[in-house]
Amino acid sequence: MRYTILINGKAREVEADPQMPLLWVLRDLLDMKGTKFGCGKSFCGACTVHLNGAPTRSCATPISSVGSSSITTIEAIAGTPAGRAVQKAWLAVDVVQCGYCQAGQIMSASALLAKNSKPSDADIDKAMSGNLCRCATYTRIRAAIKQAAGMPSADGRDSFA
Amino acid sequence: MIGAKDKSESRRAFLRAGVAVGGGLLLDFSLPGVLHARASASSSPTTLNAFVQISNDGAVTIMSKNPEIGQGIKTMLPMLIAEELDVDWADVRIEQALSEPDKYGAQFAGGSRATPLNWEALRRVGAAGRQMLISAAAQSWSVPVSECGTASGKVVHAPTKRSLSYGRLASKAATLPAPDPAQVPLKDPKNFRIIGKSHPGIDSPLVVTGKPLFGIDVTVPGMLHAVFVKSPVFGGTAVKAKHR
Repeated sequence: MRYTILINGKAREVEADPQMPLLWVLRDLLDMKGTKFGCGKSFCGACTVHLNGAPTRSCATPISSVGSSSITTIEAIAGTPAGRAVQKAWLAVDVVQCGYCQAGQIMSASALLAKNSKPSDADIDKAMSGNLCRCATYTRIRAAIKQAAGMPSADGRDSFA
Repeated sequence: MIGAKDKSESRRAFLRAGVAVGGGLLLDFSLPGVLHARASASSSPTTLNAFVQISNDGAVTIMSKNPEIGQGIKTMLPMLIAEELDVDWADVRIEQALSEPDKYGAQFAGGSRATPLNWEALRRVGAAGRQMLISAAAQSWSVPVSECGTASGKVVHAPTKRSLSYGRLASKAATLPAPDPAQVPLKDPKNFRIIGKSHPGIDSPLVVTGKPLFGIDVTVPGMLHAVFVKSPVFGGTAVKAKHR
């Protein structure tokens, strides 16, 4: 089937099986490698993109269900104020270890901040609970989200000193 | 714990100097700590398998052989060289070595050994490079080496307040013989400017912007995809496979 989908503000045409997950449309058909394959079953969050601003697991989103939704990926998240703030905080707090899950983490965090500019700890836990990190960077992720929101927080780097 | 055995040959740095492609100083050296997994001729300590390059524009490129799996070694090992070379960390570029065990010996991550095994040897590689750049400057100025020091990628002659950047000196230094790394002076740790400071992971800017970085992001011409299928029952074995 031929689909026209709106990715990062541009209409892209792809020829794909209706069941093909958006993740593989992005990675294999459009050569956008920023969105990561983790589990393929919506358990880990590595593949998170935004559909009309909502964090969505692209591995479990068939291309046929995307329709006219506006898709935003890690490659273009710097184009949003929340995304830019999150990326900057991620670097300042030095969140990244192996980095594999971080595109998904950043997409979930920037969706949260776009909706809720001063999230509580409970808000952060709720928004981020579907994003797993095998390196266990969770403490710094929380510190970086708070920094991106301009909220005071202990620097995650000192947590285990 | 590092056993006494590790402290002998495997920790020595072997060094060769030459002219880099495009000009500048190229230091080839052997990374220590590869002898445990592969005791073959290919991993003998005289196999020079890593490099530091100082270009004429002052850029410093350091190769990192160990796999980066989030432990930060791609950032850490070059810090050891940059510290003793006495360059600014911002001027350092890091190049990841390919997976070539015949050339590099064991390329593995595990056991928290990479930093202790390379700690002194890589500092000595940097210190040897620094000595060569000092010698090149001392010759240019016709002053004794002992009157020259370094700071932030420059050789400085304090008595006459002159300085020359490493970039300017690199091609001249490349014509000098490499010193024995075991004989070069190392910094007093209280003068460290890079080691002991927090430096963000070298690849983090790529990660947060979604640039290709991981094995799964690589595409090569004619690449095929394979997946494995798990048996739906415990202990099941494959009877046959259809492939095309």
